[in-house]
Amino acid sequence: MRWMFSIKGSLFFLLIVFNTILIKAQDKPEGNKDLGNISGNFQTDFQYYRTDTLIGAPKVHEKGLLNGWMNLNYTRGNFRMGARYESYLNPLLGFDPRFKGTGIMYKYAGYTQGDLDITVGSFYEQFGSGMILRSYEERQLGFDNALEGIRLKYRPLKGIYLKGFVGKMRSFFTYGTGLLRGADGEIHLNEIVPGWAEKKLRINVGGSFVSRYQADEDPVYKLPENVAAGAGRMSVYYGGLTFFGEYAYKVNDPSSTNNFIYRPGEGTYLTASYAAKGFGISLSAKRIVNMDFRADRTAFGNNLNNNFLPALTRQHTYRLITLYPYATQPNGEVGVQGELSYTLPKKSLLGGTYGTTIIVNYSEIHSLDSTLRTGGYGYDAKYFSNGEKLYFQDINIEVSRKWSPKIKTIFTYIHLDYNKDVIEGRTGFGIIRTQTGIVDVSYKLRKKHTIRAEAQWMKVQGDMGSWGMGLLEYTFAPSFFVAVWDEYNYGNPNPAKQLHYYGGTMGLIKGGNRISVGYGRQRAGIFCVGGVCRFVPASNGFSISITSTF
Amino acid sequence: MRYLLLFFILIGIIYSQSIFAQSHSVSPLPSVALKDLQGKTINTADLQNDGKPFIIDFWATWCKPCILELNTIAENYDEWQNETGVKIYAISIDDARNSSKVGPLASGKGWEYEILLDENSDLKRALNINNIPHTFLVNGKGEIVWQHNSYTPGDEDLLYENLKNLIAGKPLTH
Amino acid sequence: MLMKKFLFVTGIMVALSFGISFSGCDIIDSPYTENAPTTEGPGDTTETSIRKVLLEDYTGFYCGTCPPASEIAASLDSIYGERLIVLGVHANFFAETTHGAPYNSPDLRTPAGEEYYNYFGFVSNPSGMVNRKPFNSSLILSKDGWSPAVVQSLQADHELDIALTPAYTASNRQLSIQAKVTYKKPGTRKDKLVILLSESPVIAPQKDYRLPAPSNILDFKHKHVLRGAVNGTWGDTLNISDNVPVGAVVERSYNTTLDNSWNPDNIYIIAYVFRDNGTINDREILQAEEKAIK
Repeated sequence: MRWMFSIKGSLFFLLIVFNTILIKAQDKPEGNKDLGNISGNFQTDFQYYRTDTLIGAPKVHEKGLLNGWMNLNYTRGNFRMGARYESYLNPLLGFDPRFKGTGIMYKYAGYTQGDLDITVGSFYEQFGSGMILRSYEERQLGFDNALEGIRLKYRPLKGIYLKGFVGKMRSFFTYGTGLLRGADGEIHLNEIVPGWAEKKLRINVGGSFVSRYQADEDPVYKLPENVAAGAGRMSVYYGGLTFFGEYAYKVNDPSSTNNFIYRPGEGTYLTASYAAKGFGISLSAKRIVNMDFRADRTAFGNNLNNNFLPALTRQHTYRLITLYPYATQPNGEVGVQGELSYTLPKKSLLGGTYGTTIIVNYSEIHSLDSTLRTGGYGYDAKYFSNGEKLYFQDINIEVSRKWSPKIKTIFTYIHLDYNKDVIEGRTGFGIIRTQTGIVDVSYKLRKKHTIRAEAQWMKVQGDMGSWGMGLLEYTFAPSFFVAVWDEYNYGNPNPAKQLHYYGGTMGLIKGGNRISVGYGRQRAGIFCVGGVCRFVPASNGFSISITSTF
Repeated sequence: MRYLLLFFILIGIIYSQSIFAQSHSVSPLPSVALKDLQGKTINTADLQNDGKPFIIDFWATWCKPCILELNTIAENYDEWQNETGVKIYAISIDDARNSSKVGPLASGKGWEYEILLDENSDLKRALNINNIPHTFLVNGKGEIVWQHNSYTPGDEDLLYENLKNLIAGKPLTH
Repeated sequence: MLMKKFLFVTGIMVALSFGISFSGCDIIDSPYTENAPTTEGPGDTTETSIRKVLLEDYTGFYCGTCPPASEIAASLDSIYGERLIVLGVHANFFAETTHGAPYNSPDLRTPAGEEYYNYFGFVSNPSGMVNRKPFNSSLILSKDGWSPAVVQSLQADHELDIALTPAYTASNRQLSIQAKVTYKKPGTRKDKLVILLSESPVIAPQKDYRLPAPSNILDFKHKHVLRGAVNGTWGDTLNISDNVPVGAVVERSYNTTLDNSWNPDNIYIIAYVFRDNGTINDREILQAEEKAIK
């Protein structure tokens, strides 16, 4: 059996494991301060797959697939180091198969000395809102674009925060070709300007810069080897009012995602919000033009993204509506979002004995108002003017109320229009119009025992038709939970595909440890991004998940 | 064969955990820079509650059990503060997608916690959190003495009980 | 004092940022393309004396984003002539016949294609490989990575030659193949010879999202469609020992029967020799060869 250890990685890892054993064995809480502190976590997900021709679950040759991660961190005074061991043997369905393998890709050492902080090895970083640089980890989605190299953070004066880095970006068990370097500066005026320290008005300004170097080996195109992006931002706070704006600009970056056009990229993001006790409102607007930015211009899939362009829509968590999630169109879009949350006071007429909270959210995203330009430039796009295509529109309202010490409910209504052609990169589906109603009731049987039921109904015009879902969950605090559910595609235009996707899960929690087992059927997904189509098959099987923090 | 080896490693970890877990070790809060809702940079190693214990609760606007936990505690927060002087830092791991909605949402729900923003999950990683909700009980010296993953209705009682035990110097139930 | 320090630091930051922004980027003016390099190779132009590279295009008729990739493969094919051999592998989801008419026939999948797709870890289409060797750390390349990868691959050593002599009997659709491998550089016992059959063109439907819905091309000419492996997905070992000397010749012969749905006039043998070092990223193709059976 061969494990793909790199010499450096395994030495790091062994060093930490050795330290763990040494320090833990001493078992002296007070002594820990001298010898440093070891901590870490562990997670593993195992799934056993069964072929299910009804839902199209394919035969998984390995039968069982496993993902596992273990982080070990050591800190002592101002010094820190750590590593993460990962195994995808083989990666679960839905994870990019390029993860296949096992080894250490994340390892770091760092030191803080006064105003200077140094990290060598792997690190995560975000500049501003992430429009030109965001390196982060989203383990459950199989996303990790950690940078590896050197990063410095320096605070020359109180109120001035500087960061700089040079590195390569992780791509599964190797690195992207491109070389990345960047710097970020942020000034907190209230800490610098004399007399401003206690002022109610607070202002922060910042600027960032990122550049990617990748050689031009293409025989046909004249490719820019250094692609630079810059951004400027400002935040203003005044009591309950907050304003934030950021503008990003990227020079010509012909890539697979934008079909090798030479126009620059632009990103604008503005938000305004007001918060007071029992009331909160926030508004945001975004305009993205050609802002896909990668560590390798030919990268595809969820891999080697330098930046983060989040969807300007509400992140839904109830199951059925997650069939239609919005994904930012990096090649261009214009959107707005507004959210209002208000708690009707306790003992008021409408609020009831315990108060009622209402959250209303609205978002709308359109294509850019663009005109094509010949000759490889791409297109011109008007500012903040909606294009003719609606990409996504979502109006939703959520009302939560506690009726008695035993009963709590959440009622939700969502009206969502989803342009399946654009969002999934296909044709022939058009805009899918959906309406969803959800009732979520929890009932406290007695102290520590609670039962919760969810009923969801999603009426869909087109695509796979309407769905219904029911879920029942029983919990015994603090350590036990069990749930069963069924999603039924009753409205599918093809009677043979009107299927039930049922499942159940059960688990135990103790302190920082959690173990759960589950069984069920999962529906399939297909999406096309940047000219590449990806299919996540349906699955039927049994899963075990273990997480632990120590 | 590979699975067998992984299984043994798993057993090894759990076994070693139980051996070394006999004295649940105390660890200091790591030093990570977060922002509060007024844009001020807060270093987590400097978090304190005037020498009294405090609670750190990780949540996100999209995490239903997290919101349920914070709502449930909010119903009794006044009472908790009167009895123990505790302070709760509710740290949101919402990224740039939702971070601008964190303040208004917390206010809109009527919460009175200290909200901090961990936009790129730096503190979450430093504390080795796998998933949220995850709650920590920190003593007056800034050391983590107790933690709990997940939320099931009724967990807030265990949290409060341990808080009181910590103040009284009694052992904590894990 | 504080003000002076503040101005000093800000001044440095502004100067740095100007410096960085003006030096850290390349702005290209149109025209954005340049002429492709001429196909200069070694002076000898006989078929068996040049390095030939295999480009595999993993695709499927239901994959609406794949036609641009097949156009790129076709243009590379015409630029590099006999130095580049293209193979279209129809496999997995987008090649399944369960997508409703007209994508219910023909079934262009093969056991070999499915095995390659799964083994190398393909996740989406279109994507491909050039000589099964990682280029810029990626084994699986998007269509835009094929051109620079082919250029780089063509500059590597000419390891061996494969000479193919087919003999086809129309009456019983029997095909016999003689393969002769001549080493130009030393060989090893990890070298394997794989004989594949491809058909070009195959007329079948193809989805193309560049066209308005329903985006179907009913009579698309699928080029170089992998039809089967004659001697197994991973072929036959050529040598029993290492240190096979330069000039060594290894011969193999094979027999197979063509399926009734194939048109013998369009059938080609695509053979390749690869060095099997055991792991996904280390099974590089050393030489490829293509020959029509008629």
